[in-house]
Amino acid sequence: MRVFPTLFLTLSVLAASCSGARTDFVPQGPEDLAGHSVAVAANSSIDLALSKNEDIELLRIGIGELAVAVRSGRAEFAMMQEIQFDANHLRDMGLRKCFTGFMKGNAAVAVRQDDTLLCARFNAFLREFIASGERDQWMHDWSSNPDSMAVARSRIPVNTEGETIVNGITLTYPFLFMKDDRLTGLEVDLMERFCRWGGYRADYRIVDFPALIPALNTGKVDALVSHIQVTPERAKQVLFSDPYFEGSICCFGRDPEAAASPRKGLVQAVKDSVYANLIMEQHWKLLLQGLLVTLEISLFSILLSILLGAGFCFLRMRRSPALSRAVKLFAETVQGIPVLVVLMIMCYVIFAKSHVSGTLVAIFSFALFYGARFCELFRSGMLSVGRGQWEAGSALGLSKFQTFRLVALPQAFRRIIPVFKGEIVALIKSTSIVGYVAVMDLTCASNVIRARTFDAFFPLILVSVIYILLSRLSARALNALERKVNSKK
Amino acid sequence: MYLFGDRIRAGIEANLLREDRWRVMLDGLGMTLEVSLLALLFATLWGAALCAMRMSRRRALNRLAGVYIELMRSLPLLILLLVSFYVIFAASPLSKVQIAVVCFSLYFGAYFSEVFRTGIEGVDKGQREAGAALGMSRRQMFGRIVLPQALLRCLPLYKTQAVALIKSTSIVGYVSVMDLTKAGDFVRARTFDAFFPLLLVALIYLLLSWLFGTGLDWVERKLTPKHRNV
Repeated sequence: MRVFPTLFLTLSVLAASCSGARTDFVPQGPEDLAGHSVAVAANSSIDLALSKNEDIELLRIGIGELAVAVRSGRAEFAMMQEIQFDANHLRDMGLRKCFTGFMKGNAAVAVRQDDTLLCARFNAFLREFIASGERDQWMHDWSSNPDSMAVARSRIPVNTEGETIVNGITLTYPFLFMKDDRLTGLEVDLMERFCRWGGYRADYRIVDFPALIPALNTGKVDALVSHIQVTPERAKQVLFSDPYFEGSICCFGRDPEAAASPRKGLVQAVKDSVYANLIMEQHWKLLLQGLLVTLEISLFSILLSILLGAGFCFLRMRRSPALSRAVKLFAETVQGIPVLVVLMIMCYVIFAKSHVSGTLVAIFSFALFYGARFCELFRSGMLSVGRGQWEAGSALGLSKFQTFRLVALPQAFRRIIPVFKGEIVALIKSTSIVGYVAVMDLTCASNVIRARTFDAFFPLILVSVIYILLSRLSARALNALERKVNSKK
Repeated sequence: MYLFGDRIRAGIEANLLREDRWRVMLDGLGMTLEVSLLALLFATLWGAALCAMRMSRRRALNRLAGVYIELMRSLPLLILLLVSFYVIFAASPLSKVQIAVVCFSLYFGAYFSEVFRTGIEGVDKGQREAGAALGMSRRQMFGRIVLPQALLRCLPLYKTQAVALIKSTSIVGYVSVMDLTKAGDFVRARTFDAFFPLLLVALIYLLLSWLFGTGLDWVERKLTPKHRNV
């Protein structure tokens, strides 16, 4: 077991070290990008603008992955807010701006279209905020030194009284980020100022950028403060406040000169990675929370799916053919759909209007999907127990339930456990997709860290190792169970 | 007040016809098929090679294949995809679709190899002995006696894994491949209607799984000696 991480690490180091493909080409405007690969945030306004040009090879990924994609060589160029480029010190990471000022973007708060009151209140606040000159100060402070600003603002108590506004956000430094276990950033600060002004209480929910507007329109959140740019398409779906921030988009690529900087020793590089990805801003806490969410979802899904599977199996084995056929059809339908699509349907269609947390939706989805699988598995186990066993049970004077519990179940369980083991491990592994519906699990936590440190290597390898350990441990526990069951023979 | 038929018509209008959105969905379906079929082909080949390694009498080869299979079986596919995309093949000239195909082949190759191994090990020892008694070489014995029986045995398991492969391609949207799921997501993001595109996507996947499943069932029936001469 100790071989895996080492093997994996060696392979990846080998692969990472042979990255090359330097380019001296510097585009001067969007028209120069034709024929090149450009990374953009999926569903962002930049994505919309550039996707009209079919010559550009667009890489539509998460906001946090833009710099990673360029650094790793996956894309030649990427586009992001200039303030984001500066505040993240991307220049020190071997990246350089190619051109700026593409698309003057106005970011505004988005609310539901019928929520004119909240919009009007925010606009009133914004007018005062701008008139007093506070806005320019706010903008200046946050763009020059986000970290000290975050510390300074954390001393001001937040408003805990009043009506709650749930804000949908996508973590992006310096707009929205975690510092000392607290959510902070330019936009969190803005929202807190607004709440103090208007007597509200702010709550935040981290959502993937493409899922922001659906989250708003399905009532999961009340407002979006995630540097969303005002575009005519979006204005048809949400109500925008007046813009609070005027940004400009810059295009950046790798700096060929910076790549020649002296290489650090391996030990120092590992030390730096550990510091940046685990210790800095208490990232380990984020990972730990993610791990707990993964464990929570896995555990409850396993329990619930076994119950569901047993229930389905019971219905399926009743003598009523209509019911049996209905359950079979249902189980086959659920199994014919990818678990990711099941998850999305649960999140955006079935539980769209209810205020059920993402974790619970994920648990229900996995329980349903694997319950349908367990139904057939349990049934095959029960069918493998011969009729003679049941007859023997009744001959011994056992009731039907007693025969089931004492005679049929142990035999059936022993037969299905090899497959059951595999399914449980598969369930645990498949929970890694819940980030799609805005649940902060282990995979998602590593994405958030990656988005902050722009290190493609370390967070991914770390979560790989954690997942491997998790799978191996659960497989081992199930093996022990199997041995125990078999020894009773 | 909407009637059901009107609602469906409005859904088709907004989600498929307007701005040629059906084209996006169709392209997505094409991409899903492309990735699935290529990955299926390479995963089957790689699985066969791995199986040969795993069953080889050389211990080093055997161990290596064993470690590889265990590694693949304990790593989430999504993590493998992200690692392939951002770490292993980051600087390679492979396109994102090619990386996805390679990644799925590497992952499912491990599963397929176990399927094949189960099939081969399930062939009774007496069959080999019978072959030896007939004076067949090892190669002849494998090709004429063990393989046909093993293939038939592993078809049901192979079917399950192949359908699992097709379904699991739905995660390639994570690395910006515009597959069926991502296309549905794209339409959803444009129309802000989750119901219609997601259900349509689910329906298409269902159809794909069903078609593929019945296809392999048909092959299985055709190959079963009982039915062959009927």
